[in-house]
Amino acid sequence: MHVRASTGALALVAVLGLAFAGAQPIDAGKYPDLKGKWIRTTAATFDPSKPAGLGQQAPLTQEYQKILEASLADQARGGQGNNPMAACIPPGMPRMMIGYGGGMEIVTTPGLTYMLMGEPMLQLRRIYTDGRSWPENFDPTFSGYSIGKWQEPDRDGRFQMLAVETRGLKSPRSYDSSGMPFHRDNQAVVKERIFLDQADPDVLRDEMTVIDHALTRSWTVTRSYHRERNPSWMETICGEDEHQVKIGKEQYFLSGDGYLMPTRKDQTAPDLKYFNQSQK
Amino acid sequence: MQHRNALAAMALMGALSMAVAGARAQDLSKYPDWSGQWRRIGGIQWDPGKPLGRGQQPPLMPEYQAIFDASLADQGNGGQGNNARFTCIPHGMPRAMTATFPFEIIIQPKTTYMLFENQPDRRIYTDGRDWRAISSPPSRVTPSVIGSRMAQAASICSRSRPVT
Repeated sequence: MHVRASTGALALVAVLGLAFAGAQPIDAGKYPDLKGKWIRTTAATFDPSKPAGLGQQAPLTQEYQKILEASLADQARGGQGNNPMAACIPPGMPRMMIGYGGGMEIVTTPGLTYMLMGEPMLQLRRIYTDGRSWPENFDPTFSGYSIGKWQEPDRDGRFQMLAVETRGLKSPRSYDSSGMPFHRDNQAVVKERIFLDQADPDVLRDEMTVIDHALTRSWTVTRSYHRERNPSWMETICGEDEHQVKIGKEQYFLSGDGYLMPTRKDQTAPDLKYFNQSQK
Repeated sequence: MQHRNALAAMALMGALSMAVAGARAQDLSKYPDWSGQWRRIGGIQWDPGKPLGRGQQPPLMPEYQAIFDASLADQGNGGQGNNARFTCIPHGMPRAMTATFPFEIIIQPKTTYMLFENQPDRRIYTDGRDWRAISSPPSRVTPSVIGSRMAQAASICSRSRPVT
């Protein structure tokens, strides 16, 4: 009886093993379940653990600290400062991981992980996990070029962490709405460790480290998101109801009745030299 | 000893069954290979078999033909006419499928995604959901540029072969 039970178990194991092999190579059992909608649980500042603006204590060089201070001063006067998103320019990396708008969706396939962002610029990240090397040339983009590697810290055959490096970023970008700037050389590199919280699988963490020549040291922050398992997706289009109007270096506003209006006291009207001034 | 061996075998069977179930749920081999980058063939006009503008011969009602005529006249005068796209409003559906830029298709068991370069992503739900369930109160479909869509991957030859 003892021998027959063991033989039967072994036979069953063999059958199940074949069935499992037949379902390869797309073995989603190795990957963490990242389905659903991920919504940020933290503030819309780059470092969610600190207050906005100067409270972020961004480790900027003197030159770039002045850019931040000028941005904040302009915002205090009614302008947008160094905040390209006000003109519907995409946030880009790493700012897009703040998680604006309706949350994000992560789609995992064996050689590529996609992040579909729900913010009004509707950005998309492709994180290549197919083992490729960095290309010699690529066109800079706001999302950048991302290469990732799935890792199994527990060595149990299941991936638990996605380590990502992103290069090839273009300007203009800022860290968040305060206008913390990146170096004009566009050589910033963003490294991430993305993983589910061990205590709660409906919490996702993204530990981000930025390496940039405008910083005095690398800057690491951790963002968190909670999961909505049966989401409905909202569509938000930045240009659909955009009232911010930028003409040259000046920021204006389109009023509710459709007229151009100033955004700060004593702001001058735009130059109308190309219009026939005699017609009124 | 006999009892422990049987328990161990049952535990192993249970673990393997769960692993197989997980793998079977993600068996994408029955779907067509639509990976890669898709680019349009032909022009950017709605009906690729006809010229732009009036050459499209859209079957419009008189009221909407007048709107179309006014749009073409405005464009002839240097304006943009009835083309919201110039303000970076997305094409939306169905114009998104004219594919100004390439797109990518990702097939997953319950959703097929179409990812465009300057349009909202399309999610095509293939999980069997019913329009009636989402069109009546309290949940309603909120109109969007890209719309809401469902599809059914139907098999015509056998249970495991989708229509291509």
